Amino acid sequence: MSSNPYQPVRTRLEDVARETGNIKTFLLAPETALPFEAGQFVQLTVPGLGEAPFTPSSAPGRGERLTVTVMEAGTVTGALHGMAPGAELGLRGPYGNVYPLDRFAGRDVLIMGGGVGLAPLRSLLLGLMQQRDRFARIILCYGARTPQDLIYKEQLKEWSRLDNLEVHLTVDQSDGAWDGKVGVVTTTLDDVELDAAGAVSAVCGPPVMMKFGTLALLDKGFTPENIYMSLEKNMSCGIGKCGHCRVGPYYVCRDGPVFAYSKLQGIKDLW
Amino acid sequence: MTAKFVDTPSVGLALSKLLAGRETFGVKTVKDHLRLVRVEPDEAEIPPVRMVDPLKSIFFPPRQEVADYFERADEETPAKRAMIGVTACDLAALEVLDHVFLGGDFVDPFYQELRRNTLLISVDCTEPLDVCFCTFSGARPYPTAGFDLNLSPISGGYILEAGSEEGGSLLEEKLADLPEATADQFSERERSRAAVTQRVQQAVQDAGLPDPEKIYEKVQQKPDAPMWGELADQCVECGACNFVCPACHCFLLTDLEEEHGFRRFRNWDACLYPSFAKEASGANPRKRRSERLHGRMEKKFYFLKTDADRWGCVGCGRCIDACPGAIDVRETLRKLAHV
Ligand SMILES: Cc1cc2nc3c(=O)[nH]c(=O)nc-3n(C[C@H](O)[C@H](O)[C@H](O)COP(=O)(O)OP(=O)(O)OC[C@H]3O[C@@H](n4cnc5c(N)ncnc54)[C@H](O)[C@@H]3O)c2cc1C
Ligand code: SF4
Ligand code: FES
Repeated sequence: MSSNPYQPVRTRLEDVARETGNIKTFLLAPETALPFEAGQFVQLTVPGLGEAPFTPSSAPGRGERLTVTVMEAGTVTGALHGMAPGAELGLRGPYGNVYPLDRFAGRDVLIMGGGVGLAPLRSLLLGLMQQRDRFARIILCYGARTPQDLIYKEQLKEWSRLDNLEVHLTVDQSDGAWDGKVGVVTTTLDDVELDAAGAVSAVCGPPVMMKFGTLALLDKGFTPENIYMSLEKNMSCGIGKCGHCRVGPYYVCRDGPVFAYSKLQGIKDLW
Repeated sequence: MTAKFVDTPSVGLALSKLLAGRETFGVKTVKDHLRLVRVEPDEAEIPPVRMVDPLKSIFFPPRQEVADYFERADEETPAKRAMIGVTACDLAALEVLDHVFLGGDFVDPFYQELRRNTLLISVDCTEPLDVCFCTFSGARPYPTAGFDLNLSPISGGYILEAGSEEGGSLLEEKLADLPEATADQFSERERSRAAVTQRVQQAVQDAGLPDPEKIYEKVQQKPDAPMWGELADQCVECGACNFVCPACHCFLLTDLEEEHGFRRFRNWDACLYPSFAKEASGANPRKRRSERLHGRMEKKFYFLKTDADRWGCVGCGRCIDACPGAIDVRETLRKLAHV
């Protein structure tokens, strides 16, 4: 019998870190490594309950250890949030395509994330920083609802101190302690000066943010070919068989999850 | 390829010889319906038209265990199987399923095993149903490819023709003493095939069915046409059309905890169900029934054409019989061609 793509690999939950009220980062150690590149996703099993797809948030690589950053959204994510280090999980993958880093080379790269949407983008960003010299400027625009809702708070501070990474943060609503920018994430684009026509961007976040984020990037002068979106469609199999993730002529799990916006323009049920 | 003549009284015996040792499926009339059931080869009916159940059920069962974790499931080699009484429309749909489950970077090993181990004995249709419209895409109501052996009714018996190497050697090995089909018998078959084809073509014409190429265009251009809303008023979201369709392949994986581990199942799913495409964010790209009804046609006439170079509708008419809301896909296609 050919190898079974539905079979998860036994995986140990090594560590859990709280990011926000409803987002945690899980450190996973699969029995068999899952080497992955930035953009690809994995299917994470809570034994006996079911699976959910996540894009790793750790640096791409050999995949002996990887992290996923998960927002509580339902059955599987809810159960995950109740788990402690030592728990047994399952993983299969990686699946899907990768960010075309060759097309990013030599250009300015703008990464725009909303809420938990920064999770998959972190893997990309860490991947870019591993080969920092290949790219011109790297700009991170990240927004969340409130300061408490920002994920990777410590890392954001570290990143802000780097001189080869430009970080723009914003929140929809401030609290007393926040002295940064207030406004939806697209407003950070006003603070960024760049020649957008030659630059590339990667966007991920909730559907509304993806839509308005993409439109704002187009306004800014990015071309549809150079705006990469990571789509989070409903998935079951992850391997192009079950039909759940279809958008127009694509299966997101197989032809994506990373798409240049130019490939998606005109698809009616995209958002 | 080899072709023999077998007279009507000997068909049962011939099939028994061919299929000895195989787990056999076939068609039987149950309460006036042609049902797909387990049979002994000599009691299988040679159906005059497609059965009620879609052929997919024996390759892609409604619910199948696909993982037993974290221990690997014992790899039983499934029994050799056979299916008697497959029609051309079901063979066409099988090409779609083959593309889905055997194509791409990942092979579905469960489908592959069942497919590999099953000998297909097909039949020419002689009595098309009122709902049959297979010729709309240029297809024929008799098998032309994808079968191991085919039975064509002619006077006094059947032409038993091989369509694959396996079918050919079985025929030579087990039924060597049967006479070769004669040229006269072949021309009788041609005449009868032409007559049945003509009947279906006439029905397709009377129903005003468009060329599927037209649907390919329109389904992309007209997602907002009022016709989808009108259909939505009839649809009760039961998914019956999805389940009886021989080319619908969508599924959902579900997991179960057992005393000694965990099991995963692959279950038929339906794109007409409201939450089929619902995202964790709460967004649902096909929230409205009208959008899902359009989505289903888009999948069949645009996606699968692009992806598999196959039409996702084979004209078997099962969904017409099954829909409690009396949606007739022929009507849908006709309307879509004219919006
Ligand atoms: C490629 C990809 C990458 C992703 N990366 C991340 C990430 O890094 N971090 C993160 O927090 N989330 C991510 N998601 C979303 C995450 O997969 C969902 O939150 C998760 O599937 C919800 O599962 P659940 O069992 O908790 O919710 P359920 O109880 O299954 O679902 C709650 C609701 O969401 C719907 N739903 C939406 N998507 C799915 C799905 N994929 N499977 C099952 N039901 C679904 C259900 O229909 C239901 O209405 C990603 C999704 C995709 C497709
Ligand atoms: S069979 Fe009819 S009512 Fe049921 S889901 Fe299909 S179209 Fe809707
Ligand atoms: S998730 Fe099954 S086809 Fe994409």
